[in-house]
Amino acid sequence: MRLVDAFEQVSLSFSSNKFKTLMSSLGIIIGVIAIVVMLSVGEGLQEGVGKAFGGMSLDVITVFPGGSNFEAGKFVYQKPAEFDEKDVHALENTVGVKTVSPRTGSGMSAMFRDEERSVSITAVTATKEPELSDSIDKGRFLMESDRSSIVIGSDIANKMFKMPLNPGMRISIKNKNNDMGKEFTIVGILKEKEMTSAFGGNSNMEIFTTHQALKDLLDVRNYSYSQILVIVEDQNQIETTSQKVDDSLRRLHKDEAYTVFMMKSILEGIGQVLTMVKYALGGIGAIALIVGGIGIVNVMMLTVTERVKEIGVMKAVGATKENIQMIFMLESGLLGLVSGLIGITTGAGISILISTLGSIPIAVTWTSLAIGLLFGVITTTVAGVYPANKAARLDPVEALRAE
Amino acid sequence: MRTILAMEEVSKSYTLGKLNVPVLHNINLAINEGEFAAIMGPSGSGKSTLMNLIGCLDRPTAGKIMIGDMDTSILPDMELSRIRGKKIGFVFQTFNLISRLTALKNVELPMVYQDISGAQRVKRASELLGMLGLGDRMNHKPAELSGGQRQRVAIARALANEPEILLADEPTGNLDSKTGQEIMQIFNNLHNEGRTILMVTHDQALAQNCDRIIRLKDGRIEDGKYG
Repeated sequence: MRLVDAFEQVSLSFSSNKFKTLMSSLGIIIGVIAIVVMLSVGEGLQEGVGKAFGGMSLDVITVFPGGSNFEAGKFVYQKPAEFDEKDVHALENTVGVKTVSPRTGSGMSAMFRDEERSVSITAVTATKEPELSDSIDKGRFLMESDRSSIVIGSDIANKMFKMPLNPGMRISIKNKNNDMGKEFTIVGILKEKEMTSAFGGNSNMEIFTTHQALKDLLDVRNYSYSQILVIVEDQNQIETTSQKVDDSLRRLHKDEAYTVFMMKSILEGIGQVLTMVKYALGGIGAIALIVGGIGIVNVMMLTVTERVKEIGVMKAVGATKENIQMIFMLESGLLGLVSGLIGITTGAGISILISTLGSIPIAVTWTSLAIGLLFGVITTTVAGVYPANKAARLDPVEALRAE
Repeated sequence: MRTILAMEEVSKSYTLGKLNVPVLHNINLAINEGEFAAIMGPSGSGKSTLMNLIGCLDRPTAGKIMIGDMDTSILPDMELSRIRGKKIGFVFQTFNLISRLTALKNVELPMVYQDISGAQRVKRASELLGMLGLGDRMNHKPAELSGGQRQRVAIARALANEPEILLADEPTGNLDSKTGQEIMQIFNNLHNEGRTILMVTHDQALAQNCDRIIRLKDGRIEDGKYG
């Protein structure tokens, strides 16, 4: 029997049984829709989170004082470490470390004309912040010798005060704790950063200056760094390097608390959870599909029963077991293909609708569509095996006798 | 004359639960090419079983059935299907047409399983239907045809692959006597063209048309001589 002829017979049986065909494929259609929507939601979540954290550099280890120390399950209080030039040196001499840039953050109030605003100032080592110096929009970046210069984020420049700020303008910054105040000249404005993350703070709202300038404002005896950014040479070795960073610091701060933190490990954790969520959602779709598949088995069995006499006639006029098997397998496979196509189209439509109406990030990918279609076809084909074999094995004499 | 079908010591029994029900006992029968034979006998005498065995729809419990030079009692299923398709043409009492297919498609069906191309099938099927006077009813479905027309479609289907033996199981049993006679006329014509026909019938008058009447009783051939 030629394949085209098998196709013709199957299509004739579909068209003569339109309602039954539709009803039997409904389960599969719903299953495929579920798979596509679930995978799209999962994919969208992953993409959304990926975007939110995408701005993070994965080659950075952040070290900061304090943090919780658990020893043998018990919380042990330790004095927070105070980081200074010695630590920077030690870290610079640690294997695997590329650059070390210490930062100190502090809350201040900024005054421009008659407006006063609370701001956060970050002191940096001008020579060690290539990322910042590369993102200057207007003016220039800081120099180590600057003692009264600042570089400001785009939101500070454009949104904080009534009048937009430009390089060359002066604002005064005051430490509210000791009333120390000083006039600063804006030397540069940073480019607007598209994404700011939950962890990094909003760098568009940051004011950067030199350590020397902040020291003058704080007027404290032991100026210490509130954060040290360590950039590693090889991102893939970051776990090892982070261990070495910890070892270097432990020598200098034996009983003090500090935290060595990698964005990468957080991202990996989030990634794992999201993958799990995605597959769990897909799994719900798969269950829908299995239920649909059982429906197909039912309907195909019914079809075989309905057509017992017909199968008898086919055998009497020369159809082999294989012919009958092929016709029924093709029928269920084709049912799966058509249902799958309807399912992925509807699924994609629903996904896009949800994402538009609910402003939930949903990404319909070719992979999700292919998975949906594949599962639809596989389910119906598998579901068709038993009924097709039953049909093929019918005894022609018995079958012809059926009413 | 060539012997087209030979049955040697053929027996057939069914098992009903634990019970063994014998249907045919030691049947010996030879049918020659071009013969028109009637099989008669009361119901339950094994006529249908005999037809099923000859038509390769069933296998004997014992004995040999030779169609041409092949012993069909030992052939695998695949080969039996092939013989049913190529060497046997069935005409049933209840027509057994496929209701969702048109007359033409019904006649094409046996050719489909022999891998004959679509164009050739249509040509052959329309020739046969034309010959049987259904040239204008080819695209009608069985439900739109009268009983006699349906049986003619079934005869056309039986002839589709130029079978060596035509097996007719009470072909006029579901028809009124006038239509029945028309159908019998068709069989007579086919016989005159030289076809080999085996026909189960209850009708003594119809049987008189045949070269030979084989009478079955209780699963044995009572009388099989040439009339």
